[in-house]
Amino acid sequence: MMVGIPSAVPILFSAVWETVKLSGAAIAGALILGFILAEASLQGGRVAAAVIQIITQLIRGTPVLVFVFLVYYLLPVAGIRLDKTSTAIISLSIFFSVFFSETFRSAVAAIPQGQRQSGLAMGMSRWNVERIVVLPQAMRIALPPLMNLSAIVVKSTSIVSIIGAWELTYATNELVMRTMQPFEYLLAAMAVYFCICYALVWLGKRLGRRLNVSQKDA
Amino acid sequence: MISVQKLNKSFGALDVLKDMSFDVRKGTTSVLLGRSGSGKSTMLRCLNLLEYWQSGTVEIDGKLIEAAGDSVRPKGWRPQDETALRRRVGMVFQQFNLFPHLTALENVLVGPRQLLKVDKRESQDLALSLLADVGLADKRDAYPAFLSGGQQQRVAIARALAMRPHVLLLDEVTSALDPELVGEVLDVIVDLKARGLTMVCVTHEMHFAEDVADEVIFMEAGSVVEQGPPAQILQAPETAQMKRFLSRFHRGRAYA
Repeated sequence: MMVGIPSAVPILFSAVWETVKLSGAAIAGALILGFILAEASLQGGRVAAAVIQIITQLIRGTPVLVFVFLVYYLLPVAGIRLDKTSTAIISLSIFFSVFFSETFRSAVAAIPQGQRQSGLAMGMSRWNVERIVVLPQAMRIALPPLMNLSAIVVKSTSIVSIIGAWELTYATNELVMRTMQPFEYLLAAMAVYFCICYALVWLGKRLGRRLNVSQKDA
Repeated sequence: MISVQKLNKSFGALDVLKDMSFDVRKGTTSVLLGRSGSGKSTMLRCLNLLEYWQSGTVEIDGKLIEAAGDSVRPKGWRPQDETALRRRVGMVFQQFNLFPHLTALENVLVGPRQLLKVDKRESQDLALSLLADVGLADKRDAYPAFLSGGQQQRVAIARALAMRPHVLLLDEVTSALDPELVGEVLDVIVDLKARGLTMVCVTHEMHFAEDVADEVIFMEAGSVVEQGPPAQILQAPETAQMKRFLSRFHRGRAYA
């Protein structure tokens, strides 16, 4: 087991931590950006909705690897100089924001019109209708798919090793190159990714069930 | 309390309301009666500004509201004016529309607490006493999915009353209920009438008009055809349309 390099374990630990931080930041960024996109496309009128739809389709049809490369080369052209990890976070946040936004959007669309009507009829402002009536219900619907998406983001952080951002896959690859023991290190990395993703999906299901106490069939 | 004058409303090329005029006195209950598609629900939705109209006026709770014409809302009328008016004009819907993520108590509480900023204790007490009034004090912690249609509708009425409205609009509130559950909701409405709340009810069900109306306004194709006290309208109708409407109802009842 992982012979050859005595320092392999601490390296792996700090690489896992790096992946967790990278994932956390990318998920947070994609969530916030996705929420803004969803609200803009729902409330911002026809032009905003059309523009966002075009961006969404473009990004959906792009491999995440290509997109990360694109951002990596575009940022310096735009005069923005960032370290590789920040570039990775930004590119993943933007890439996944459209998927988060679509999830939010369909959850909000699933709330019956009668809910908004009765909120308005009580004398709620449009904002209060969103805050009190629509969003709490939409969140319950969106939570499990959001957690599934988050798991996909975690796995996708592995590809940012391609622009030289150091994380679990990068570190694993280095160790494999140095020791020529691919299976030990790759299986270890796989186990780590699996645990993180499984925990996220499990949490999503559990929270979804907890929040849905108001539903009869839950 | 309410005065509608020569109100016209159309959706595109479709004229839904034509020269509607009627008055509702304070403390009385008026029933807008008519077949589906006669425009009665649209008329009700104009009274709390869920819809606007092209010409004519509505005076309600001391506010005179002009037509909006082709704009979103009348000149000089702001979103917060709509909100303020709707807090004084409650509405109950056919499909209850309770908030499914809130318990019965929270549904009733949310208006006073979040909109009127009544303090926590006071709004809780108010909500509990309103639930007790509609006979559902024991269901305070139940979510709407666990309540029958009749119970949900009674919570919806309590929710509307929690805003202390001056007028209550009821839109086909018993139409989605199983026949054996209609009575419990009707009892609540009769009770409100006894307390002197001004109400406007839309229905196509005769028993509703018989039980609660001080005034029946019979509509067809977006206009008032006949109006008067229920004894007169339902027993001795003058117009051919009203007679036809009544005969259909009695035939339906004979088979039922």
